[in-house]
Amino acid sequence: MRNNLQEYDGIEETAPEAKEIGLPAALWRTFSSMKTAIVLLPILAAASVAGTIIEQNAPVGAYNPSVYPILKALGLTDFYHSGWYVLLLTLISINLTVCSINRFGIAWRRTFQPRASAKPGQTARMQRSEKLTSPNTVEEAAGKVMAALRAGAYRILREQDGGDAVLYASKGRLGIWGPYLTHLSILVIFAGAILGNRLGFHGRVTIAEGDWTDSYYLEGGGQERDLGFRLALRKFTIEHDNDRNPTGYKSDLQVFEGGNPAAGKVIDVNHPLTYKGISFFQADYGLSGIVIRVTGPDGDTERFSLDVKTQDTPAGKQYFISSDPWKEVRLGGRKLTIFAHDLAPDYIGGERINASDMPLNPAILVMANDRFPEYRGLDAWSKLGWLAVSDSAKYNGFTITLEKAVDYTGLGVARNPGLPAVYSGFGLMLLGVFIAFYVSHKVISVRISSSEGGAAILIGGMSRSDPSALDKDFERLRNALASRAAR
Amino acid sequence: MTIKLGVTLFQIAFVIYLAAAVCYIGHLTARRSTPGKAGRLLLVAGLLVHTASLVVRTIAAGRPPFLNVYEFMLSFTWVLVLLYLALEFAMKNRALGAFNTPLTAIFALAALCMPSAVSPTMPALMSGWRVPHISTALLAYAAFGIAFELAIIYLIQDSAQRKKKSFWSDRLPDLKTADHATYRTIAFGFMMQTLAVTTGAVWAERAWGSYWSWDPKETWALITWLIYAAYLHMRTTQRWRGRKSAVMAIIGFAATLFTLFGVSFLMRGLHSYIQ
Repeated sequence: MRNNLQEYDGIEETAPEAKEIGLPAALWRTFSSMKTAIVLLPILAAASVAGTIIEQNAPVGAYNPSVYPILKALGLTDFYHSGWYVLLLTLISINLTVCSINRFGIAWRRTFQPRASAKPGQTARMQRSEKLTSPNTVEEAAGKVMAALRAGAYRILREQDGGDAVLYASKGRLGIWGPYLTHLSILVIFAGAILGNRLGFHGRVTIAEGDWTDSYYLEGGGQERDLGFRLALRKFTIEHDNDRNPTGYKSDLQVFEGGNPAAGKVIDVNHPLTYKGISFFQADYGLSGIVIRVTGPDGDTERFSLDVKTQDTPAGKQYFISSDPWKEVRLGGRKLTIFAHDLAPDYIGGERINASDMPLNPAILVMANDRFPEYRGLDAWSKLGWLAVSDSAKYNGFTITLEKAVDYTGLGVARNPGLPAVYSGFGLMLLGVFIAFYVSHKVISVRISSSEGGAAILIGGMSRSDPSALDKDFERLRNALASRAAR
Repeated sequence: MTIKLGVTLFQIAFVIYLAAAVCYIGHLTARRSTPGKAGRLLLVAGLLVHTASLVVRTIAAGRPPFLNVYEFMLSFTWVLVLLYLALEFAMKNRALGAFNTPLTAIFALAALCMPSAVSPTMPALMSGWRVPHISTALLAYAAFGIAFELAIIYLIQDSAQRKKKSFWSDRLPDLKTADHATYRTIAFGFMMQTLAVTTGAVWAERAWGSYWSWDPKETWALITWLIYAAYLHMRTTQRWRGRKSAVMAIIGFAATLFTLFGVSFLMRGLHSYIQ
């Protein structure tokens, strides 16, 4: 049966007798076959295309309503976690594992148990073979050949087969294990991925400036979970260049354990904070509120907050006052109703008013009416103008100041205990791939027999990845045998 | 000013590459070796001007030129020429130039049609992983491009030999050389792509908290990787070498092109920075 025949560039392993086999053995044979891999890999590739064409994990409205139920039932809306895909990955893992187990013995023997006594027929059938003659005796010729092989950094094993000297030279045996390491690494990565999926999580949380949180919300479900510690946002800043291109989104975070500060870091995208295995990533931001301070004619003060809602749209972020945009204050025996007519996140005044959708200079267009609600007519409202942070406007003895604009930061929260395994897998894979292609296992088999006029030398060579590399070695052998010196 | 200088230098390089392409194609049919030698000379000259363009762009942008389509193609064509010259030297055969140089010229022309303004570096792209990730991807995809050309050469040779025609046959590398060169080029590309995907994954974890999100770009990079993994496994069995391998190498490059351009232009996702 060809399935079990190992072809190692000319050195064949003999196959067992073909006989009736049961299902388990047949399955083992299928999974130990390279052909299965050559079939499974393109299938996995083709299957992976499906998830890039069909929208993944999108809200129901994103799909064509007549097709959606079918897609959902077949698992195509979360394809990479569906039964199909997991099945494919499982089949590949089995294929990898069985192939590795099956070929382990051969790899071990090739590395540690070289066979010096290769029959002449086998040597002649190797990837490259040559017949040379030499006027020297068998012993002298053997000496020259061994010296030449040693010069090529080969490890040599010598045996005697009757009157013949038989040599087995090898180098780069590490190369045998390249594919092994690569396949092992894939299994390690899979293990790490499964570990991460089972024991890890992904979530989100938002924190307003000056505020803190001790919980987060799981992705895709929104369940609230405890962090086990407090995370506070001291300040959120957007750094930018002269053209208002953002160069950094900085959240100044502080962790508190039992009331005491434990860890702190100013995070940015690509520079998360990790505490007790949980990492916090800069993901989003917005404006959460405006605080307005009113000072009455007698010097008394009142503050009130306006809640702001930040919304992501294709045109950028948009900000709305989500609480009632007006407030009546009574100070010094007088009343005044203040109305926030408009909100600009990046106020620059003039014709344009707003420079960007980033909360770099939040401002409110304030209107006031001291006869509200008795007098609601439009002419009762006085436009006090745009107030940015710390700006004030006066009206009838009142001073209205925009005291504070409160940003919020949106953080990604994640924990992945499988990460060390996955990264080890990556490292192993790179090592394995490099060894597989750049550490070439080479074998040179030589049989020196006595013949008329001296010795007959049969040379066979095999180079796993680069047959042309044998050229130099063969040349060296030819030169050594042609030289006049006896040794 | 320096941006314009960089673009002008690239335009000059493109014209030189065009001339080189003509020479290399001529080399396939000419009796003497002059066209081939001229092609090589022009290609090296073009590469020097191209390198100058890259350097000027790096200075103008304050960072390596990887960040928009124009920059990426500027770098990609550079690697394509560099890898080709290495192969020409190793194989001692100029026939590949008749395929690679026109392909390079086409990509260069496409690049020159793209807006060449320097894009500001978004905070998400400010990472130490950016340069290793993009440079290994460039090396991988350029290698796959060259393997594609070698596979085409193989199929041309194979068909020429079946028809007993020798018009192309003596100028193109022989079947064994073409087959082996395709394999070695893909092996190199595969190693580079493994590096690109893994550095990308580590970077993604630092930026978004997840090393793999099945984003179309990520998934297509994986699809490409799987196709070439299949190719490499085919090499271990004698029966699957030759024509079947060559076809796989071509399919692999189709996947590479889709990963590079199809995803960015046809699909949304985390990787759609290039707008």
